[in-house]
Amino acid sequence: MNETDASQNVTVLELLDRVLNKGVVIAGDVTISVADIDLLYLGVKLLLCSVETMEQHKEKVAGVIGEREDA
Amino acid sequence: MPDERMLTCMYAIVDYSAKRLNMPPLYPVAYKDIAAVVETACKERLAFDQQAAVEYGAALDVLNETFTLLPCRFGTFLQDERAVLQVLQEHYVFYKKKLEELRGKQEFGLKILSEKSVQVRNANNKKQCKDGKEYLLQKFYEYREDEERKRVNQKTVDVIHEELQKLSSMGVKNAEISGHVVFSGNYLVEKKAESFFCSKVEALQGMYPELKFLLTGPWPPYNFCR
Repeated sequence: MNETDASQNVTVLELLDRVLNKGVVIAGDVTISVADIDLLYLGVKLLLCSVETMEQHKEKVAGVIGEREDA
Repeated sequence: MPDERMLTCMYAIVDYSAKRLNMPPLYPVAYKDIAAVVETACKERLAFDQQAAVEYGAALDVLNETFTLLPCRFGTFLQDERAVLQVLQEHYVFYKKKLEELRGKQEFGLKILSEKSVQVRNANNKKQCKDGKEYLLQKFYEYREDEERKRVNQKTVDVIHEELQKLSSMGVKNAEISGHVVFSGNYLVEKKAESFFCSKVEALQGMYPELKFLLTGPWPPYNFCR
């Protein structure tokens, strides 16, 4: 990695650290639904790591329901 | 079935006394002389990935060029404009005071790295111990060496932090440091003093060539708005 790329990466990391962890926090965020399962939205960090997992769960649940209906 | 619920995403709270916002699809929800900069989106279309976070930060950078602002954390959603207005009404005094404090100032981030902060001890530079006593002694010396290195680094970065605090309206040290990072801090700097602040960091880098300084900014005042 050259110096310019490294510098850009540092800037992106610094930016992400700020937009995800700092700034004004407003209480009363709404409940939003991910993969049809309502979550209490506490912070986007939680969502960033959980959306993919939730999608996988949704597919699995859909699969199980489909099997039961077939039976 | 797609969820058609609309959500209002808050970007920032700005001083809305002098300039007007023209940055579609963002629009202002104003209360007295402050406003929340928001965007309304269908819940189904909201993205929570890295690209969305970077774009959010880029929009705040653009806003920061025109307005004195309090950036909101990425992912701040309210039900509708009425809820946004309610937030502005409830916290007006605090937001107004903060905006006054931050007028004409921007944030700079500084990280200082030291290659020597973490001593890499591989098998080649470790001598073989003939017994347990020698092994424990070696561990003790390594521990003492690490502690001494930390002490020296700490003393140096304290001097640097003190120097930079003198040039800024406010300076905060971040507690979380690890690995090669021996210092992490943020400074609120007057716009007119920015170039002097940057040249001071450059001069300090020259004074301490064994350390690597990573200066970023100017940023909206993420670390100074609470």
